[in-house]
Amino acid sequence: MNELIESAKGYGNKIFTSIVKHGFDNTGLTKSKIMFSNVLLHIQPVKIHKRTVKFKTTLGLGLITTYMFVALAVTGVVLMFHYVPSTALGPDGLPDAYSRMLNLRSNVFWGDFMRNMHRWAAHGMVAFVALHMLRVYLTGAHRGGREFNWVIGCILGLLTVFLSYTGYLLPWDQLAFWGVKVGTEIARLAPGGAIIRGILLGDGDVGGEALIRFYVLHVAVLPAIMGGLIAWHFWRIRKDGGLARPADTSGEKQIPDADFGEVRNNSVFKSSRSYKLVELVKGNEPKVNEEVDQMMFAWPKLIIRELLVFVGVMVLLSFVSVFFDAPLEGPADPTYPTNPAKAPWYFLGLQELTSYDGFIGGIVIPGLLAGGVMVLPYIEMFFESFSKTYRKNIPGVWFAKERALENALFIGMYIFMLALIIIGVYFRGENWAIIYPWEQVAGGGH
Amino acid sequence: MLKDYRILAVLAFLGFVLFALSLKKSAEKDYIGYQKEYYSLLGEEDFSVEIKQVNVKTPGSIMVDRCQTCHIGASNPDAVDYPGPLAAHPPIVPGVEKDPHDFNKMGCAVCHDGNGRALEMHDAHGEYHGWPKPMLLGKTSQANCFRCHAQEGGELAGAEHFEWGRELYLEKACWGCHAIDGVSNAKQAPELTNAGGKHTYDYLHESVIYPKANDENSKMPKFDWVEDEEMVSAIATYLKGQQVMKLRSADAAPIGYVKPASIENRIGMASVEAGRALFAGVSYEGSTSRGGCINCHAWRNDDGDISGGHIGPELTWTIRNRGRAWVKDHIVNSRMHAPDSIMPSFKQYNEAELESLVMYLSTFNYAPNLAETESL
Repeated sequence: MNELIESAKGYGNKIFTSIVKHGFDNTGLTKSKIMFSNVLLHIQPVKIHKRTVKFKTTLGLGLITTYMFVALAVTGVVLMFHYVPSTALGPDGLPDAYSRMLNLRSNVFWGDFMRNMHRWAAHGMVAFVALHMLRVYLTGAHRGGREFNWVIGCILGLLTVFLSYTGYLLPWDQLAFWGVKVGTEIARLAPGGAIIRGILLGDGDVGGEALIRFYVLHVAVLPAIMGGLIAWHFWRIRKDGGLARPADTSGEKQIPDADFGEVRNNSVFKSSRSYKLVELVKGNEPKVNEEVDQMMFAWPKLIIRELLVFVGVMVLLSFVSVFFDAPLEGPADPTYPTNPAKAPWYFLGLQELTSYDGFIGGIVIPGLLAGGVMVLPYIEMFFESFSKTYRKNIPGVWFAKERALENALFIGMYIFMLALIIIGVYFRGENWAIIYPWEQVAGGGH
Repeated sequence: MLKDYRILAVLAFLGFVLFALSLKKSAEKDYIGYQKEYYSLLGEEDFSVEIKQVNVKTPGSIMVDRCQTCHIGASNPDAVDYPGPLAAHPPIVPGVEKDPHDFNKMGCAVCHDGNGRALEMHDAHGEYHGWPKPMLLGKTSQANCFRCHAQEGGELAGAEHFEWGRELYLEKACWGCHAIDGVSNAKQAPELTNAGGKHTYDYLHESVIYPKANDENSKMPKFDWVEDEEMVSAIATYLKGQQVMKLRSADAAPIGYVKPASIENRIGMASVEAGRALFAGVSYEGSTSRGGCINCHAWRNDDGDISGGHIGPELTWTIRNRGRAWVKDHIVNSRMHAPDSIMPSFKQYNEAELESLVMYLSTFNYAPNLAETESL
């Protein structure tokens, strides 16, 4: 009998070790193995700089954005099981896509919650992408070898907006239809915009063809591109030497070493630390002599903190989704425009500019801003190279004195866009007239 | 490190609470309570709570109607006195033993509009922003009788409010400016053949009372009788009933759509009585010719008492001032004399009808007592 139990235990052990190939003791070797042998964890380094897990370093904004993407992907797939991208009218005169929204709100179990999650996470992701970009710029983390990752990040940001925008049409209610209509009318003003608009809509106007195209872009094309670019973005972070940090961090206040967990030494060298992993890697890795004191095992501190942000994001999204329903208006009716017809909030700044002058406000200014921001680190480099004003580069420091001018300009741009968006959302009423935010407005989105 | 674990534990706990809340919100719908209450009132113990969906068959497809998930007693005669949403529906056709309307086949939204798919009260009653078909309650729901029944087939039992609206539409001379297919083909004002299909009841109601409410350039006069809420409601109900999209094709309709052969019963012999009827907008001995001058024009009786509308000029002296030929021309085409007139053209009148009107107008012979006037 005992023998049988022993055999069973051995068999169970074999199964377990075939899946989890490491133990859970606190030696450096095990801590390394945990990170290396797990497919989810191995995209992160085994050892990280102490600064990395400090809240102040990143405010967790990039992570929040990523987790929002994950939440969107999961809830999006759930919604795909139910959604039909069709404008065919049912007998009750409602388009198919819209009827599905009504079903999600009524008889589909958990349907309203999934839709709320998806809606709020989409808005949240656009907002957090903008905040993430602001953080990166204000800490100078787009410089010091990270210039190209900034460009990838900007493309990701544009993709996020475009993803959110393509999804905005799918409920096929008045909000969706007129919001998208406004956006595509702005596109018409650009040189060649009419062609792009035609390709995007597959028709002269927003209609059934546009719904299918937006749907395919929203659920297949853009998420695939986005997933690839996210992987590239992360990979570049490691290849560029981890999170941006100043050359000398010895003077900074850090999280105490004890907080990273005890590391039992099982090295043959009987030294308290293992240099092996850092010694093997070439390139932008920390210099052994100067920074090794600052390098800590990622397991478990980093993973716990990431988990913390993840659960935090989920709690926030669930809270908003339980207590606030995603807006749904009457079914799309191309013959009855809402008044005002407003684009989704992240385009309202653009719409506000367009209301002053179509071409300059709708195409030139946003084009210059988007293009300019994307190549911003290279513009900075250009001025520094040709004016020979090599400034001390201090990436990873908030509001560095040497970068006061750049930071001020960048914050100014954010305030400018934010002001336009606030005017567009709260101060525009019927016929785009200026109103007080507390006045009742019949139509329009947000 | 311990602090991290603590925050994580608190957040995870919050996450589970919210997760549970979201499930609770999905699982605990209002209709469950209603159905439990209903069955306990009925004294039934063996029941299952379910979504009661009626698939209303219309030509080619079906309409989804889930209203009776909450309004569960609608067709149960025992549930007459049940509270709120559980009560039985009052009879639709008066004076019949068994009402021919079977809610298990036709649902509720067919007559009452609203959102048949929704299960939450505000959604179902169409009370959210921009919903195109808010609920029609009480008498106003008679507008939707004509999604299935024929309008031209004579009086429909139980649709009195609508029928009154139809009568008012003719009497108040709405038809003089507005066109409805089969009623008149006037071109002066927006066509109303699909008024109910395009607009909500509230929109129509508001537009009758205050024509400029939805169109600032409207030339429609503001009538005096709009103070009478019942009258406006009847007309708005009639207009809401004007829908091109029908739920029954001619062959499947309970009362067919076949328009009865139009009996062109016109006034053949000119008389003062016929003229009076035309002037008042009522039918003269069953004739289909209508007028309704009194809605806009006033006149004085022999004692000098004025009555009628104030939108057009007073007609007491018109025949005496302008002559009979001028008045006839004016009825047929008023803009011949006054280019900015908003008076409809009554060019469909035959000679006898024109003559009748002129004859009636000629009976106005009030003259002020000059002696009295001078003494003033």
